[in-house]
Amino acid sequence: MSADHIESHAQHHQPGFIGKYVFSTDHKTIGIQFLFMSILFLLLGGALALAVRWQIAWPWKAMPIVGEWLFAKQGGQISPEFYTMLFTMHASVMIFFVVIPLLTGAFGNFCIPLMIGARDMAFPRLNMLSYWFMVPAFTVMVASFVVEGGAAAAGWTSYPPLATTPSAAPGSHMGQTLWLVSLIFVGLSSLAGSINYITTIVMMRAPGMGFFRMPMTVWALFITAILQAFALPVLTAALILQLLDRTIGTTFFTPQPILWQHLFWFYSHPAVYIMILPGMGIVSDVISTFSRKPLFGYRPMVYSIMSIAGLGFIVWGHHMFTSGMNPALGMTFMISTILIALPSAVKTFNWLGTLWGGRIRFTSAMLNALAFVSLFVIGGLSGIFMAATPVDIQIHDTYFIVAHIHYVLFTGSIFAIFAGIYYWFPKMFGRSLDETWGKVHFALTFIGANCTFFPMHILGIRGMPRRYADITDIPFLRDLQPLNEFITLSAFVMGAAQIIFLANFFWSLFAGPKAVINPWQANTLEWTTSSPPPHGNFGETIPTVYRAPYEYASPEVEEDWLPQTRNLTKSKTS
Amino acid sequence: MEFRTVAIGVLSTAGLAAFFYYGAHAPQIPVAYVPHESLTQLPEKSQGEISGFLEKTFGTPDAPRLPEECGVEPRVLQAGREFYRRQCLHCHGVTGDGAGTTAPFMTPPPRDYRKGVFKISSTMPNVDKPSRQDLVDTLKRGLPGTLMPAFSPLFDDQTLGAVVDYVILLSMRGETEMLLIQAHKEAIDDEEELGENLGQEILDQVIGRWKETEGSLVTPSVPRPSATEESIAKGREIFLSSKTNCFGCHGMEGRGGETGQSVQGSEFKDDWGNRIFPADLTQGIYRGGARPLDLWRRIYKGVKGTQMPGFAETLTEEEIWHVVNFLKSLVAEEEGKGG
Amino acid sequence: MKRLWSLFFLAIPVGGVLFFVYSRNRWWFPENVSTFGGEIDNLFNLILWITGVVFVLTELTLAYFLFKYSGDAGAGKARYVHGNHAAEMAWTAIPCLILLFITFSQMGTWKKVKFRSHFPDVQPFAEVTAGQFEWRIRYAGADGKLHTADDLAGLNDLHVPVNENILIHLKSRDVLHSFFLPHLRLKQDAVPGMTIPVWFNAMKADTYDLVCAELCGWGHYKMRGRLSVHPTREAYDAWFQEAAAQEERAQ
Repeated sequence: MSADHIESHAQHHQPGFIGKYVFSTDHKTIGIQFLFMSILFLLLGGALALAVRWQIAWPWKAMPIVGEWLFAKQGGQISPEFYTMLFTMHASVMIFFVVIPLLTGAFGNFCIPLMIGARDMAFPRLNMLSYWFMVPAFTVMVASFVVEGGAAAAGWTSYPPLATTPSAAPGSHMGQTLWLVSLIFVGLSSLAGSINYITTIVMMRAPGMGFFRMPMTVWALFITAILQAFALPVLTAALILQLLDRTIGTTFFTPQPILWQHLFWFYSHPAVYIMILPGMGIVSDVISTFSRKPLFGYRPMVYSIMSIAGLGFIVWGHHMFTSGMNPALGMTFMISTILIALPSAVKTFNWLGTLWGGRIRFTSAMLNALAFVSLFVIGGLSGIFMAATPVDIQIHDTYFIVAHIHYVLFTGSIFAIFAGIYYWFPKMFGRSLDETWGKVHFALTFIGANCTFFPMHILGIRGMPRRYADITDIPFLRDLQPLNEFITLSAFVMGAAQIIFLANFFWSLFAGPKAVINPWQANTLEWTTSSPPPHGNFGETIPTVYRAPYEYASPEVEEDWLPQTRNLTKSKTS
Repeated sequence: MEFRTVAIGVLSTAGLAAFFYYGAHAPQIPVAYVPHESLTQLPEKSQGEISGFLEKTFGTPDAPRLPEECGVEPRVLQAGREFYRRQCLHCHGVTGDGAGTTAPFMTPPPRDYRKGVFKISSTMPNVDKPSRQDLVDTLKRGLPGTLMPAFSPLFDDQTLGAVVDYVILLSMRGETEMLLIQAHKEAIDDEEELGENLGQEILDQVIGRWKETEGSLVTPSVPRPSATEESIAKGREIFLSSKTNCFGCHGMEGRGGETGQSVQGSEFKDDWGNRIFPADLTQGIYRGGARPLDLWRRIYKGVKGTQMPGFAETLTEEEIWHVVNFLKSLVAEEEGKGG
Repeated sequence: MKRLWSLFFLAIPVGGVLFFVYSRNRWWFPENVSTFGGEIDNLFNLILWITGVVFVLTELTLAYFLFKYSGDAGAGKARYVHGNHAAEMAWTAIPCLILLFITFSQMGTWKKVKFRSHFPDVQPFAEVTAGQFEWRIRYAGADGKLHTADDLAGLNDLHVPVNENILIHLKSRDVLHSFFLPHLRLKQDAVPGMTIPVWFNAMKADTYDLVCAELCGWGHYKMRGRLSVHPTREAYDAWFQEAAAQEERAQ
């Protein structure tokens, strides 16, 4: 497909309402569809998390709403298999329906063509298909809540034989089968998406947009797409094998359950990077823009993303140090895992370097990005404890790992997502978010998140195993209960803070002040077209790129920003 | 300040208020015993009488009570109820009817206490109920081969004893309810008047059956002969004899399941209507405990509510010991094979 | 006003350190009673110190930069810098050396705890079979061999003598479980179809918790047992005789 074709397509085709908002092939609409769907699931996943926390803090006390609704017969106290379902679905929803689709689906779709100066994706119909593959995935997952036995309850890791033996757990009846079907659809969707992203970035960059003139968001999404394209087929194959085990009685995982763990983590460890790399890209863009200063160490930043992705393929075994895998393998996985901390450290130092000597503007987007830097450090450093095999013996499968994963995926990815939403909202919808409430939302989320997740390190050090419905009967854990109550209260504050976000988001969506073309005085291409951009993105001609994306504070011009598209030689002669 | 900022503030405050209102007001949901299915078939007057009597005698799930002659302190009952809520409720249900929320997914299903029948007991054959200690033992070691977990050693006998008292309450209540329903039904069918003290009579009957268990314990009077080849051979002979017909159900090799002649073509069900299979005796997994004494008692008394009869009349105490030795040898043989 | 945000970020290192210091006296590791547990604790503390220093320095730098370079700090443009080769080299090489140091410091202990070639040379003491939701124990008895006539069955309560190398064969009857002795710094998954040996040596007589650390179904949290460490070999033997007699009890 050539660029000419897309251009003519853009000019001649005026889609109707359905074509514009529902069955759209426009990358911006598809991105926004992903955004809305994922925000919806963010609420579901958050509610599930609060239910989990309620049970841990006040075991078997009547649960608000859920208790009245489902467990009135037993006085509102939930049952343990319902609890296992809660945390299984919390993780599944958050990972597969919130973080991945938000970062790669919403921001990937919306940003890539706009930031590289293309009119649309390379394969617009494939792109639409990648969204519509998510719809059955969403539907099947939601439907699994109401089948007999409830939704999947074998953990989001779905280790066999617990997941493959229907009699092992209530959620291992129909729920687990539907879980597998849903994730196979997610896999197909992501695969279609990643092929599209790779092709678009390689083939459709605007004139002058060399690889090393691409904004970090695009670089990160590019590497993520490659990671996804190569790792995801392994998970999809494993899901199909487990589905066969469950439905037609094959025994791929019955004699050797550890095989599943290898296949699962071969994707699901890179998945952690799929969930953090785009966040790193977004944060790099936001920090540079609001420091009014070029990104420090652009090339080292790119190389470190590449090495994270490369190393990401050979670290999966660190989830299996105590699984019964040969301990000699544990040694090699320890080396690769500890080394992956290095590129992450380089990135952090470069972000600090970017702030150094800047003129920092504390916008809501910037605050969220700064929170990412500040808290990703904690997630990165706590990873070293688990990578060290002897230490992992003690803290594996305890709350230490729960703390770690949430410092990476919540205070990492979710803060990056908030940064992205505050940053690109004006471009997406042509209206601005309210900055005051944006900051209040940020402050409450920041405090709530830290009070929720930081104490979990301590729970883990004491040895509290994860996925326990009730620790009060276990002698050595009993005195942790006040800490658990504190964590739950903090989680409720954090959950409540999202109400502010929703109020701000939806009010501004319909009644916010009209946004200007370039509200942040940023350099990249998406800020050169109208807000929201028209079908086809850029008016008559595709913009030409003259320089790197982060030329803030350039001495060549009077203003402190210098867009990628501005041709200085021409303006001087004229 | 912009109008929008105020508007978002108002919306957020309303949302936050609703959120924390729900969070802070944990629902107070009254818990009630579930009436037996057949109660609804009676006329309303009878229903009222039965429910009233039950509540007067046994209280409510939140305020349980036992007649004084049972000799259980309210404090103990309360402790038992607390434990039951946390550990037992989700399978055995509020009423002890085995219909908790986890129950539909379990094979075999959790016990319904309301019948007043308990499979594992070591009381004399003429005694209907298990002793309190039998129930405590079941809690301690769990029921191997089922999803009933073992609660030893982390809970002491005192705690477990309190739960047993509460379970006995649920069982008494259920049995009384069922007998009352039966009596009402018969009276209606025969167009008779019901006695004034019907409830009390039935209750006394039920309490009496539990009282019988006190001090009633089956104990062999001859010591276990050592497991010589001779003893094992005798045991095998008895197992394969037509006098006992053990092999008819458990199969010639003791493998249980459907290997026995008598099982084939007929469906064994227990008193609760659940499909059951004769035990595989080669596995060494026994619900009533694996000690030789436990096996001896099982053979002597049988398993209540199932097709496994007691052999107190048929066999001598010594003969039962030979069978026990034979059964132990089956397990050893099987392990020798499997390694 | 804008500078207040730097205080916000300053709260992370300050609060974090204070919270760890407070917790160290209240909710820290359970007491170590294992011979190799001390090494694991030391390795943990080593990493804690290294990462702690990095954490505090990074966060303080961040907070300081936010204070110093906040938008209202001064007029004019930001510094026009694209990077610094020497700085990049330094902050790549130094962390790399530290990380390699951490890696190599771990290996000895890992070998000691998990490598079969480094296990103490003893007969298996017992076989522990995990199942939903209980630990079935089979002691090898006097002959030191499993699956012989003098084996003793136990449930949820693993009795061992103090100061002896104990080798356990770990099995599972149904799904995955994990044999976790927090006081002994020992964790190993039990996998159906595999027999996995684990070893430990308890230094202090007492009773300790045994919990399951791998999701095994709705009763995961109920799957707890106990490790009873006897003060002497004699005390253990006496317990064993008593239990064996109980097991075979006829009268």
